[in-house]
Amino acid sequence: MTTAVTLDYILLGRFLATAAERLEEMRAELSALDGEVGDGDHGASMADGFRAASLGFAKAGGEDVPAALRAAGESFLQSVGATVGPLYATAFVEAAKRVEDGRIGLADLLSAFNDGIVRRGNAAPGDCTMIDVWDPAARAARDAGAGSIGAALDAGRAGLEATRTMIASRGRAARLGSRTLGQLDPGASSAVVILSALAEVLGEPEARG
Amino acid sequence: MTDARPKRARVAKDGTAAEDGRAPLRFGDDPLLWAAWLYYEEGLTQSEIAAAMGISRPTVVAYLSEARDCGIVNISIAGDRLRALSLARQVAEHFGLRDCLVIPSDGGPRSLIERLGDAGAKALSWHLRSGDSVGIGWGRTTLAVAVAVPDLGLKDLRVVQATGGTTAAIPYTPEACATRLSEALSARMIPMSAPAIVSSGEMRDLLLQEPVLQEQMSELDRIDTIVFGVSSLRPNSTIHTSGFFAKALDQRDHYRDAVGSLAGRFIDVTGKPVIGSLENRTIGIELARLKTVRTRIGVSGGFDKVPAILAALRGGYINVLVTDAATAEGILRADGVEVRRQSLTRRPPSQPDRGKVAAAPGEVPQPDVKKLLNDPRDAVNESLEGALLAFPDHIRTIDGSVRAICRSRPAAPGKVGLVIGGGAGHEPLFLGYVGEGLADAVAVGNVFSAPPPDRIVRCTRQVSTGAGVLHVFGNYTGDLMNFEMAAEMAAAEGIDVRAVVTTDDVASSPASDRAARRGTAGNIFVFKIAGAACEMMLSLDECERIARKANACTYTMGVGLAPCSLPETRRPSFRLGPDEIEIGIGIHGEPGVVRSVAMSADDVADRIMDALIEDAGLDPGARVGILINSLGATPMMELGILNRRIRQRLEARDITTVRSWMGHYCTSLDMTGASISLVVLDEELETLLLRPCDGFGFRQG
Repeated sequence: MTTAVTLDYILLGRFLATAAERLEEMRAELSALDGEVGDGDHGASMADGFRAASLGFAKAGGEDVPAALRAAGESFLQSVGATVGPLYATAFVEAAKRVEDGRIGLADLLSAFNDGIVRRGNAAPGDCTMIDVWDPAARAARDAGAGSIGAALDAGRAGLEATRTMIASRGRAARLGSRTLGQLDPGASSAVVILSALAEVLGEPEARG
Repeated sequence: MTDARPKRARVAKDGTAAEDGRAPLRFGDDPLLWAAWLYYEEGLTQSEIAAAMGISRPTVVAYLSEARDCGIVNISIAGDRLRALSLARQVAEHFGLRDCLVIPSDGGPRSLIERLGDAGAKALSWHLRSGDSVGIGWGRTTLAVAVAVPDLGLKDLRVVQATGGTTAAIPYTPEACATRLSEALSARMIPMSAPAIVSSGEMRDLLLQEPVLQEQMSELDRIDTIVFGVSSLRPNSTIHTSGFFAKALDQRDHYRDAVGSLAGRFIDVTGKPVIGSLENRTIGIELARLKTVRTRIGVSGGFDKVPAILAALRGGYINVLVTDAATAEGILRADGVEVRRQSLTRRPPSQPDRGKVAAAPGEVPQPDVKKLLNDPRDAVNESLEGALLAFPDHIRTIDGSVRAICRSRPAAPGKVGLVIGGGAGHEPLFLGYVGEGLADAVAVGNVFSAPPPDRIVRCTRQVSTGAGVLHVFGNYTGDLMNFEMAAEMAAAEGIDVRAVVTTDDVASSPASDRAARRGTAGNIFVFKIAGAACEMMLSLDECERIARKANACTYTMGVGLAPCSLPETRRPSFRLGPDEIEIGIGIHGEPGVVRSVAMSADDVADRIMDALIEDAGLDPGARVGILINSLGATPMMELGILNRRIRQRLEARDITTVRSWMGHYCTSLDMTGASISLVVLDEELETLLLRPCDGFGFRQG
């Protein structure tokens, strides 16, 4: 595992900033998707939440990376609340626990996101939620050894596609029964946006840690 | 067209009319109507009509066609049947099936499983020949098929139990299914004398060396037809509750990728077998073998099974599918197929454009919904600022933040504090219900979005006077999580917090699962009654009990006529056809549970009142409070029309309306529609409901 991809404060900061930017670009699209199955606030919550997380992370400084990640989560939570606030806040808290010497492995980061979100939301794979992206992505990153963002992204995208075949059993969409069939889950969609942002950041040759 | 018209034995001719070609009086001078009548009602041929009306046959043809075009003649075929038929054809085409049978999802008093059993029996009888060997799986639906099969009078049939047996305490074991079917068909039964799941791989290999079992297993190679159900792996599905796999089914481990199960084996979303710890301990037909059986009849319905059935279809395990319409539609949609829908009403051809707009949603750019906004992202804050300025006697900010608001006149010390909250966009909910006799503070989130915990904690601190604090909010995932985190934080500061979650929306979940219902306009009754209990200086325990009781006695159902649009998107948040309404709509634009063609105010009121009366178990003599609430754009005038009918219904049932409220109480931005809420009152609730209160959204002296 000597070649394992890890992220330090700089890379994590770039990841959060890029994710915030991409989510902002997708703001309207995600909200429209959410309008089909939920209440239409998802794009705004995610874009504002990640912007707050990115700012909170930057403001905390790189001295103490776990503290900065916790600050990111706290900022996300207090800026939007909503459904995604507690979920991603817990994801950041979980990630903070897995930092070693100021760095976190890619597979650890993805597992932490998955575990934190599962812990707070109690969703399981197949419930038609963001977990249907985070779970396979985290597993793929782990299985690919060395932590491959490409494999994680592919697995996440396949998971997103699979939400079309699922019947939501969590959140507001759960009340829709079979009407969620054929629809992409908005939470799973934004999770793929975040994964893509991570891939974008890790894909830059000069950014490799 | 000739074969579509009804054949009548009795042909009545109007002799006088036939002679001079003049229409009989009852048709006035409308030749279209006359021709149509003679053709469809009297059963005359086109030539006979030509003779009767004194016109040429081509003119008759033209008249008849025009009569259909202009709506004089409506040809209708029982909608349900047609829909089921066309769905079946579409499913069969899309998945390359030999046959597909789709039954209506709703069909009177008999359960879906019973009706699927009938249909499965029918499919089996179509495909079965004398001398065939039939394999059978297990499960509720499979047993229903076996029960429904009549004696077909076929000879030399064999029924082969396709999997080992079980001692699980269920009536639909493999043994029971096979026995029942063999009896029904007067067939020879081949059992499988081993458990479906044995303790180890070695044990299975050992058992399979037994001559008896070997012979029985070899019968599996001879089957021409197999009938089986498809089980979902979702929590609460038969697979878990049957005890069939006991504790062996560790889904989180080997089987986490499995979405369905058939004949005791597991498949993933693409239909590939999932090989887990049970695989080498399972005795029964293997999936690879199952796929080679000539006729593979899968009988399964209920939309929770869509992922499992879709996987089974993708894997090629089924070539004759028996299911219900909702499930069939779900399967097609889940596989990305546009479902062809028959319209139940024939649109008048004079308005062809209406159909076009509906047919290409999203492609026609629609203008933004007009709204009075500045920067849409400031909408919530600016709106709260305005409300604070408008109602200074009622509400003020807590430490300057417009998102955490408390009542202007502080409550008496020793009173239980009542904190409410939720997303913006429902005004006057929630802040209109802050004031004397109501809530003490409110935490406001973004549009349709729960407030974050710190805001809720600030409200909690503000209203805590030592007697404890009650949190009351609607049942939504985001609100639950944020209020829960806030309660933990407040508890850490030594404040005793109790949470009561409102669950009044009848349409969102069945009565058996009341806790899963969302909280909607019935919130107002719960806030009012809980607020009164707090104001009477009752203890936290009492206030909590009363709030829970108020919620348990409150029932709401809404109807949406047109979608709302969010300030940021300014687009309709969902689509409704030009003549569609959504019964059971949620207060965030969540689609409701039934979409139907537009109906009159009385019909809507009846539909909702039927549901509420049944759900609440309202018997004559009951006393209720009612709330007729606009979802935003529906005017008071229409609420009045609804209320007129509501009161007629309540009076007819001898139910006393203690008090009613009508207006904008819990809106969904600019949604068009309304909701009706009932609170069923006992003495305690009635007293509390009628006590004075003073919030800007709800005042009574």
